[in-house]
Parts: sequence; C-alpha cells; structure tokens
Amino acid sequence: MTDEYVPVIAEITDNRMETPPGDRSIRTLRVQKDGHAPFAHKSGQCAMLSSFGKGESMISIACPPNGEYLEFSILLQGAVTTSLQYLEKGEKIALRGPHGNNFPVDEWKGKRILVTGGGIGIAPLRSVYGYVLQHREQFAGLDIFYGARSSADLVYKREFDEIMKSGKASVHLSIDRAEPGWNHFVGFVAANLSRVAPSPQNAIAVTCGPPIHIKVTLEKLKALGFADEQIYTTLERKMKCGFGKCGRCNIGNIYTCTKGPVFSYAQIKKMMPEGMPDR
Amino acid sequence: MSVIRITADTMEQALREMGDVRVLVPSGAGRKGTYVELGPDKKLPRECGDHTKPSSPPKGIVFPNNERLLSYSLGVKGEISVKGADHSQKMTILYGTPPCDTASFRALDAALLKDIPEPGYARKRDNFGVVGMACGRQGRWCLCTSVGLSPRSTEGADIMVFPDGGDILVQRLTGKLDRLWKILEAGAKTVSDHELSSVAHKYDFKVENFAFTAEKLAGALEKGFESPYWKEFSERCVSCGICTFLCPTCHCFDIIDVPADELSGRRVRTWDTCQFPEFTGETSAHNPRKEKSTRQRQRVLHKFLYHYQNHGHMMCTGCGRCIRYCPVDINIAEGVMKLGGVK
Repeated sequence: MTDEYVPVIAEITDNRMETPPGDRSIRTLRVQKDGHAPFAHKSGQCAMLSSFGKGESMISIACPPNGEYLEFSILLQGAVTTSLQYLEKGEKIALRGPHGNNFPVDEWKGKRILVTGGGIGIAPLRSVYGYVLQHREQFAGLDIFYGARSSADLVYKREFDEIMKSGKASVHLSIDRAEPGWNHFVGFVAANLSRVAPSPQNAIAVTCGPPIHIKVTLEKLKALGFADEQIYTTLERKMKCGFGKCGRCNIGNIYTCTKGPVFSYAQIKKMMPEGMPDR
Repeated sequence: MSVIRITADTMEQALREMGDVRVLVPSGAGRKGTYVELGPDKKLPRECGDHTKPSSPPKGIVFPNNERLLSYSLGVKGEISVKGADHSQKMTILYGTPPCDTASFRALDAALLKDIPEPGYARKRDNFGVVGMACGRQGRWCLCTSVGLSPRSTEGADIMVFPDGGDILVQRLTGKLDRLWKILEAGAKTVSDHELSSVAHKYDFKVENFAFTAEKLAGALEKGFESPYWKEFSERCVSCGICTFLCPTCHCFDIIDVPADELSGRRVRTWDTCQFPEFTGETSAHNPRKEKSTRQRQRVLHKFLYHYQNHGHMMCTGCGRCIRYCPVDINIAEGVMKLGGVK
C-alpha cells in the first residue's frame, strides 16, 4: 500500500523574486527531481509542500503540465511559507501530490478563455492561461485580467509583458490605487472587467483570488451575461491531509481537497451555502 | 452454519488460549472507563449495557491520538531523508462492545478507508476485529434507535454475541475472526435462525429517550442550514471539544511536526476538533467557521447529514457520550429534533 503521508524529495532548481522583500513578499520556486517534474499534474491541481519542523502547506501548482518541472508562487504568510521562501537553488524540498481535481481545459478547446485573477490568486490561473498559450491555436482567444494592491505586488510582470508583445492574449492589468508612471487601469479587477466588458459568446471565465475578489467577479460575470456553467473558480479551504480524511476543508458533504478545488459556479450554487465565496 | 450456542466460559477460555492476540474489553463504565487488555485478573464481560460502557470510545485502538506518520532528518547542506511509519499492530480483538461502539467502526471505515485510505488506520484495521455484544440496558442519554441502530444491531461486528442466561449465542458475520470462530465452533451446538431471532428479540426494546428517526430528518436539516436556531443551540458552548474527543466516530485530525532538534523530528497525526476556532482558520485570517454556531452546525450536520449523504448511514451511533459529558449540557438529540421540526 502506498503511504500518502510520505513525500517525494525533490530539488529546488530556481527561486525567483516576484515582489520586493517584505511582509507581502512572493517568490516562485521551481522544483525538479532528476531533471523532470517530481510528478505529473493537471492545470488547477495543488501540492502539499513541507518545511520539516514547521509543517506543511497546500500550494497551487502555478504552471501547466510540462513534464520538466513544477512551479509554486509562494506568498509569505506563516511559518511554513516563510521558510519555503528561503530555500535556495540546489536545496531539497519534500512535497506530496498532486491533490484535487483540475480545470477541464481540454473540454474548453475551441472556446475563448477569460481568466481574472486577484493578488496571489493568479498563481493557479497561470496553469490555465499557460496551458492555453501552449496550445494557443486550439483556442478561440485568451483574455487575462489581473490586478493587485500596487504595482509592486504584481507577479509575473516580465511574463505578462512578453505575452502582450506576442499578441497571443489581451492582458488587462490593474492596481487598486493610482501610482505615478502606471499606465494601466486603476481600480479593482472586477471594475476593469466591467469596463472592457468581454462577450460571454463561446467563452469560459475562470477566476481566483481573495474571497471578495471572487464574489464581486462572479457578480460582474453574471451581469455580462455569463451562464453559471461558463464560470469556474477554485474554493480553497484549510487543508491538512489532502486526501479527504482530516475533515476541515469540507463544504457540506464535499471535501474540497479531493472533489475540488475547481468548481463551476453551477456546482457551487448546488452546494451548502458555506461554499459561497464570501463565506 | 453461522450461529452457535456456547457457554460464556467457553468463550473466555478460547480468547485466553489464542496466544498471540491482544484481547480488549470494557474496563467498566464511568469517567475513567476505557477499553483495556483482558488480563489474568480480569473477567470477560458476561453482559453489556450502558452500565458497562466506558466513557472513552474504542476508536483510539485503531486510530490513536499522537500517532507518528513519519520521521525526518535533515542534513546540514539541506539534504532530507524521510522514513514512513510502521503502522502495524498485533492482532487485536475487541470483545463485548455495545452496538453503539461496535457500529462506530462501520462509520470510521466509511470515513477513513473509502477512496484513498488513511494509511495509519488502514494498516491497524487489518489486524483488528470486533466481537460485539447485544445491549441489555439503556442509559438516560442513549439514542441508538433514533439513528438507525438498535440494542441488538450487528453493524461493525465481525462476530456478534447474544447473552442468553449463562450461555451465549455467537453469530459469525465476517471471516475476519475465523481463527477464533474455528476454536468456538468445534463441538459447539448449532443454532437455528428461529432460535437466534427469539433470543435476539429479547434485545429488541426501543430506546425512548428521544423520539425521532434521524433518516427522516435529513431533508429538514439540509434546509435548516441557515436557521437562527444554531445560535441558540451553541450559545452555552465553551468550544472545549469534549463532545468530539469522546465521540466514537469523530475522526478529524491535525498533522503537526514535532522536532527533536533542529535537524530531526517526527510528523504526528493528532486528534483535532471542529469545535476549535482555529480548526478551519487559514493563515490569511480567513475563517469560514469563526462563530461557534457555525462550528456546532458542522458537528451536527457532519453526523446527521453529510456522512449520511456520502455513505448511507448516520455518523452518530447513539452512544450518548457527547450529551452526558458536555460541561454545559448541550444535547445533540434535542438540537436535531428542533431543527428537524420534531416537537
């Protein structure tokens, strides 16, 4: 019998600074085992990263499947994430996974994909728009809406510049408050979404971010005419085991670590009310 | 042939002579009661009821608190080595549990073995069997017949025992304890279905402390999620979690690292409770169950709705411990009845 608790030992092959050091520092770790991804995954799945002596944290896998590596964009929050941020290239990391279900990206081929991310919520979405960019000719379009508190809090800045230049997607960046030199939108992501008003025609919208971001984005998407079945989000809860046993990530009778974190808005509406993103 | 009549002494002798087997029996009712080894000075229980039911449930035998999940050691250059835990245990037979405690293993199996098994529980469960006993005396807080069980139900049992005078009727329900069964069966008198049902019928009394049928209330509980009653129900709660720690089926757990020094330590699975505010508290400070009303709601609905939806039986087995030992007299049965619209 495999032991679900025993992690894979892999290597940190990159640790990039995404935002300046400080109490909202975000760093992206690249993890490999013998030059390959430690395990196969699908867009939207998560992994449990260990910092021995401190504990484990469930972190979204922030890249589409590529066979070569896994990436995790980690926001400094508690003891585990702090210690993960200090890991240097060449050091080892213990992780287990993949956990949870995935975005049905293959079923979405032929459609226009709209992602809207708030803050570190862009990390799981990178596995979606990254997948679309990998198979761009099979999708009708790609719109990326992404915002953070300030320009310093934006992650993947260089990547977004490259995507914009490539013309493979339209990228709509925003920050909450005006700053000198900022030439994109100022305001919340949802407001930017209303301003651009993308059409729901043949589209799938995927959103992730803080609960308030998800709540307001759902409202805006509905106002734009998106059907519940066209909207997807992730409902993360506190998780310890990652395989549906420890009993804390449930929404009603659904354990988000195994049946989630990915749900359509149509599914969320059928769940117990504590699944609503503002709960 | 799956039912025999033997004397209780024969059973005791058989269990004592099995050799490489650990036999656990109720130590007795009351606040320090638990399940203990059948030592030479301890008599095998001849009967069972609320007066023999220990305050601690038997779940810890296969689901111990503070169980090691792995050991780790770190090198000075960041190397990591991890050794998984050996969860095996000596073959263990639990004897003389009342149907509420016996049925707890049906609920725990469903919760912990389905889909991806919890490794520690699964391994210990392999070497663990239950000889349940029909219950002859109800207590003030019992509610087994409200949750789909009864003083004679066999759910969770590998072998079931029905005391009948000085004799016992022994019913084989699974093949798990076949070594014991073969010893008992040799030379024993076979019992007809008719005889079994007439003896079992003596245990057919209805437990009437709380007049409700949980299955019929599931729909009402689902609709009652947003009910203002949860606030009233939990008003006195001090969030101590005793209701869940003493519950035979509550199994929610935490995983924590226990460092021995800077470079080595263990990762441990500990019992946890949905009643602690931090149980669902995320590092970001978001907590979907900040209020104690939402936490008590989770406890009640997990037992009476969610587990039922997922596994087809109630997670409450009606033992009554959570009611009896609650320091502020919160009564889950009354709560379920109120929400379910039972007067």
